[in-house]
Amino acid sequence: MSFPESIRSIYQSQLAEIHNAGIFKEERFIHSAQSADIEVEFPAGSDLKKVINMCANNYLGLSSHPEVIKAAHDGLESRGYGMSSVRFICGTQDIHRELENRVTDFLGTEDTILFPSCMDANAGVFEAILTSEDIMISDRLVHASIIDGMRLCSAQHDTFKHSSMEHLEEKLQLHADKRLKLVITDGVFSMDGDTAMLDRMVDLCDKYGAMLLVDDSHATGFIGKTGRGTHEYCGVFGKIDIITQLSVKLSEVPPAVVFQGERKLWICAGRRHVPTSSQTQLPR
Amino acid sequence: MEEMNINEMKELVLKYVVKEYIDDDDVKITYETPLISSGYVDSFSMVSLLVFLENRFKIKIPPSKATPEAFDSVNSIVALVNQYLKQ
Repeated sequence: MSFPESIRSIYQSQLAEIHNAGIFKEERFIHSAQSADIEVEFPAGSDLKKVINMCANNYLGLSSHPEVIKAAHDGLESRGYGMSSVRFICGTQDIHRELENRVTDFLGTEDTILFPSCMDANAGVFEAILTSEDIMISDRLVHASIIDGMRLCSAQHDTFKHSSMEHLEEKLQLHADKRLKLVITDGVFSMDGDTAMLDRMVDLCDKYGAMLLVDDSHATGFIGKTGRGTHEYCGVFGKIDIITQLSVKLSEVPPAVVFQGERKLWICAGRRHVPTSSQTQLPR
Repeated sequence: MEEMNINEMKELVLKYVVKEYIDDDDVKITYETPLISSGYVDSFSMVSLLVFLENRFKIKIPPSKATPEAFDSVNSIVALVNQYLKQ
């Protein structure tokens, strides 16, 4: 039997701690497409129940939209399933590049790189563009994937109190000697639903020569007058250095890092970026 | 830098920690309160405390010594600072 008792007991002990803390998450099994009305099996083995789904990220309901499903079928028919290599070996799909260009136009930036997930984008973007000479300064309530990405990066890191522009300015002054300064925030914070003050952050970044990265996963597609995201909502469209965003909210648009700046520069950075250089691209 | 005794140093560090990291007025921090292991201070935010200590006490703490354990209470922070003040 794999997992001998000496090892198994360690994990059983950890599981018991999680149970005792009341934070163990039992999985619900969904037997239907994701939509406002779904069928779930919960607890496991029980009869199916029809319930209203109030907790999905599928804000626009596009994950089961007929046009999205048809486009996915068309993609499978014309290109098959799976990319067979990372994009730097066999090559990049023309339709991926077309999609990158359309995302770029939609979000008003200079270019876009697709990733299989926003977790991957956030896990890799920092190590690709920063070194130990640089500093990352993040809002204290950013998404967990950003924290993981910061942990993988050799740059120094600091935080500012949630949405406190005064504290952010103190930190920008404190780290004025760093080669590159990257301020990091969510556009819309997923746990509380509040919005970052991107207009003031752009001003501060301009004042102190810092870059601004916004994870707009909970905004792209429906925040702002035309759904471009938090930068449109805050009146700073076209002024964010890097945007990461997640597909599931918009469904049509895969996860991506969207950036201002010359593409060659970012491709160069991407060669040091494990999720870009060593991971197969989205199937289409 | 003016001479400080241990208690004055502890009070200075305590004030900085409360101002920098503690948003909840109901949280009372003492010299012994575990800061990082209790979640009051995110280990990601330690760099600002490090910079504060180095600037205020005119010392240089090597990154290898600025560990979450060394920064886990006002007492341990002041003990660390004292090591480098004496050098």
